[in-house]
Amino acid sequence: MKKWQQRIGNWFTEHLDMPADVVLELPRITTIGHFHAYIENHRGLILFSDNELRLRLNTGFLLITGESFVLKVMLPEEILLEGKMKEFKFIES
Amino acid sequence: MKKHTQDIYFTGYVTVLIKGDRPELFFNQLVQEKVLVWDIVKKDNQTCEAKIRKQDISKLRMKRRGTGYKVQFRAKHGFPFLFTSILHKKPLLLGIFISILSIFLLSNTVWKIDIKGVSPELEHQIETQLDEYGVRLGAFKLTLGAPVDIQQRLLQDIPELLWIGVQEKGTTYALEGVPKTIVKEKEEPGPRHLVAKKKGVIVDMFVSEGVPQVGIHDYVEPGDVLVSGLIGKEPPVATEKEEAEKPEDTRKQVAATGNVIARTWYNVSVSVPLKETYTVLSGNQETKYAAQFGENFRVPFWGFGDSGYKDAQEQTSTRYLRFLRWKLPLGVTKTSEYERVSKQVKRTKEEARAQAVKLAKQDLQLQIGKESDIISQKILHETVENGKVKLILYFQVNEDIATSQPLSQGD
Repeated sequence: MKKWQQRIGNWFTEHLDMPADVVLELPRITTIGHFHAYIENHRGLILFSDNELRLRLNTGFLLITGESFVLKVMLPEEILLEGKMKEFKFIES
Repeated sequence: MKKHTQDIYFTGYVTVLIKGDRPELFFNQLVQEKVLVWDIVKKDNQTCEAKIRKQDISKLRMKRRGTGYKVQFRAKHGFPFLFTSILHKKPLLLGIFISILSIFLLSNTVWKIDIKGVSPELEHQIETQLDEYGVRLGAFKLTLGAPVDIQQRLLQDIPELLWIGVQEKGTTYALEGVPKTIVKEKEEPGPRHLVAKKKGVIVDMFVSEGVPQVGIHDYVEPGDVLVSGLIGKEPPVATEKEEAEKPEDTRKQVAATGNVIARTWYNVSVSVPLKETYTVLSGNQETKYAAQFGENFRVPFWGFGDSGYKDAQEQTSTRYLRFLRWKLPLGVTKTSEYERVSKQVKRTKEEARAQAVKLAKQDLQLQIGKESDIISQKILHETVENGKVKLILYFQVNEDIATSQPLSQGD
């Protein structure tokens, strides 16, 4: 069932130019330089420390590493991260 | 994003410290409860610092229960906390209160009385009179009457004043007076005659300049020359032959001055009702004070209840408090009620007649002026009609009938 949904979603984004994050419920990450990262559509915070942020996504985890992290804003499905970012890593579960 | 934090200063926010195992996960739960959390910093493995709004503190406490996390409040920010902190500083609060009170008091104090347009003596008189009313430097303005009242009382109490304008300009009373006796430089009258302004029989004459043309017991008509302004011999009437070489008028022209008292006559008709009702103020009065809020709302605080007057004349005046140069919608209203009584007078015919004569005399004296004398009076006709006594009176009056008439220059 879920796979079937994803296939339809894929078809939508490919043929109808629909934004992928809306159709497929995927996270949207916006970064400004290396000091702001705005992550929407995440599924919860798992770990946060001075140099690491780990978020749950629909399809796995997102790992951001860097230095002097501050969560500027935290809302149920949005996070604004401030600090010096070095690495964005997607981990499939 | 910033939208959430812009007005946060006014609602207030706090910095909290969360202690426990993986403290960041606690924020996950908070966020599910729609609690706004920002500026999250991890201090060390066991502690996290964050900011939350003041109104979310209770939600935070509820969420914390039974989780094993420890919450510490570190700093309070924003207006509500600032406000309460000020409230706890008694001396500061007292100072603010005293300063506002003193500004308030000073704004309602008379600081200057400006009197213009009158002589120093009259100015002093006005000052003493004002002092009597309570209008003096340093007086509290609420207790004083309205400018219009002050104006009326001044006019009543100082007969030398023709008019006085009282204006309240903030903390200053500006008075502008016009004295009754304006000493005008007397104009040197030009050459003139004195002529009669009404008909009468001359009884007395006093001529300081000019040639009298009439004598005592002479009857004069209006326009008759009483005192001539031409002194000297009148040139003979030119005959037609002499017309060409008409002799020059050598008479000296002067301004005739003098008083010519003549007996004149007046017919005056008056009527006085036998029965008359009129209302007078009995002299009983009651004064009430009320606090005034805005234009229409007032709360009485002095003098309650009905005055019990059947008929009364009411007078209200409102004084508003001032703060610096603004008029506050707050003031004191003074309401004075004066009892009015209607009186009925019944007169006999004789009384009515006497009253009518008195009235007629008063009227006439007003008409002819203070300097003239009423010599005699006589009732010419008397009727009683519709409850009224109607009299036609005849008066004999001694008055000055001289009026000036300039000599025509062309002749």
